[in-house]
Amino acid sequence: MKKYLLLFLLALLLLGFPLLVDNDYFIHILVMCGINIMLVLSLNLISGFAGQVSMGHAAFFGIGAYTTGLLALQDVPMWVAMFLSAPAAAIFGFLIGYPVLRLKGHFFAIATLGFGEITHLILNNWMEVTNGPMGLSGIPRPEAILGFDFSSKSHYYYMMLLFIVLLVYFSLRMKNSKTGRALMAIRTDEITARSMGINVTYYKNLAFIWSAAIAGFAGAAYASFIQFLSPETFTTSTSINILTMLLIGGIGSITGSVLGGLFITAMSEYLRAFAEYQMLVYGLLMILVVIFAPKGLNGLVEKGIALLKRR
Amino acid sequence: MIEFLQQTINGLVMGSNYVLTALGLTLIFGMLDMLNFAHGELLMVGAFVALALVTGLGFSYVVAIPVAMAVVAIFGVIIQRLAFHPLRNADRVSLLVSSLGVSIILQNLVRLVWGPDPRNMPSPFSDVQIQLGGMALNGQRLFVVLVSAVFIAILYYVIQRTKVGIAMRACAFDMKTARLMGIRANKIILMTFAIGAALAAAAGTLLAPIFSVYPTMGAMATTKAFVVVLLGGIGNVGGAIVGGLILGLVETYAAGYWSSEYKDVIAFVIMILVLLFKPAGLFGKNVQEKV
Repeated sequence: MKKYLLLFLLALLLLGFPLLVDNDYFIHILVMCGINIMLVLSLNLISGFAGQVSMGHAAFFGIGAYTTGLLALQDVPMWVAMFLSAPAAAIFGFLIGYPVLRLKGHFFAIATLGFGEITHLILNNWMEVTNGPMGLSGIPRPEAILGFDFSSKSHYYYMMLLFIVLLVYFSLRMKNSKTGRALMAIRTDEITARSMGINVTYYKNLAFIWSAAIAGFAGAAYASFIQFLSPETFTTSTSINILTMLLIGGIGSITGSVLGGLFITAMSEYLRAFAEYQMLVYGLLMILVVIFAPKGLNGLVEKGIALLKRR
Repeated sequence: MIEFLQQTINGLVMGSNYVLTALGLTLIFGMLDMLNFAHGELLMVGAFVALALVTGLGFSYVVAIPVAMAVVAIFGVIIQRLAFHPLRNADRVSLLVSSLGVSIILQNLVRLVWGPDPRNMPSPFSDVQIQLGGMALNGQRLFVVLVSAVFIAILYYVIQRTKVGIAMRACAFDMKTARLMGIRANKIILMTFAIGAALAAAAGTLLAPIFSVYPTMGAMATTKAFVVVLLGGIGNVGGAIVGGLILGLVETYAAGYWSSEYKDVIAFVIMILVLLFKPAGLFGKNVQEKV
């Protein structure tokens, strides 16, 4: 009962937030947090559940964003363009995952790294389509729906909130299903999983395609919110950023993914004055987390709760 | 024809550079089953140390190379002890992440100290032009190829013929069995980190006068070195040498005869093709993994 009460209060807080805080800048940061949380949750499917580190997630983010942007600039309705971004990214996920996920070990990390670099180079150099380094500008807002016309940032806030709730629900369902258990078996020991009759390649691909699709959709959300795309947003350092968020939040944990995305995005916003030192702090945090707190923020929170309960 | 020869020399410059960077990486990959994303940063740190020695302390370029190599070798050992050694029993993913952390720290530390702008490294060979049958060869490029060849030859000899080298190869092939044979694996790992770091620093300092020196130069070096490692097969020293030269030549021909924007794409396309058709590398045999 207590759990539901807490959940209800949390929902109330999240829904009422833009009404309480009438600060455009603050809402903007929260929407960016939301986009990053979507990305981290998508990465968690393949890197957290299935244990395959993807170093090129920004590529799917970029493919989704550019699909939306390019279609929208061809006068395709914005919502249609946004929902097409997921299958577009998923197709690339399949193309890269199908050959490479057969292999065991680190090949997947290197291949996705290479894929990320290729995608960035193509976005940057294919002038005729992507407009190169100048990027795409003038991407329209989504069409008005259910009284939301997206003229104010808080409308985007509610859109992101809806997406994240759906995504958390999806992740939970996946984790507690046959697929999730298969993925966790693969993460623990691939050979054992195979000998238990789990189709390792199939499940890894399934996780990766979903992961790519969701990252692509996060890209669509980004394109519709920022309304401008530059290839520099979709570099390997973005991929590493997403990975950092996942790690600091707690790899494999849904709560951790949300916490990591929220924490790092908010922190980098408020540490903007110390931008020079910010990356240095990230690097240190990464090493400290893997050595001393391999379960990330989520692990620390859980430990704290356990300590409180014991009293 | 002359253009082709010129391109070949340029390709060898890039190739020998890739070889120097990839040698340490492939050995460490083989030994620890670890993707060391900090490896390219050692190349960058090496270049900056040499730059500081030459422009700040008035060292001559030729002397600065071995000094930078020694400094970076010590650096490599320190990094191994602080960031990688505590994780020796952890998940392999943790090692990867830790190396990413080290890479971010090094990159930003250098950016803080020296600033983000590219700098030029003076070299006595840069202005020398050697005429050879109608070809104009830049002295620095020739110097890079020669020095790299010497380093690669020495390393190859050490690894193939000496006791330490055999121990390294044994560790890269099978760490557990190597330990059982009485090899002090920890010592060998440290040594490999030192040698790998020194070679990466050599690559950085050699290439610095041709291209400029900037804090993010290590990131691309790491990625390219991974391509070489995959081409040659993990832990395979001979493979890395051939793979590096192949990559350097192919890239340079592609830039010269096709498109310089897309030359980096070729490297990654090669890599993905290798992963598709010869995942054990061009010279490797596919081995079925056992429990």
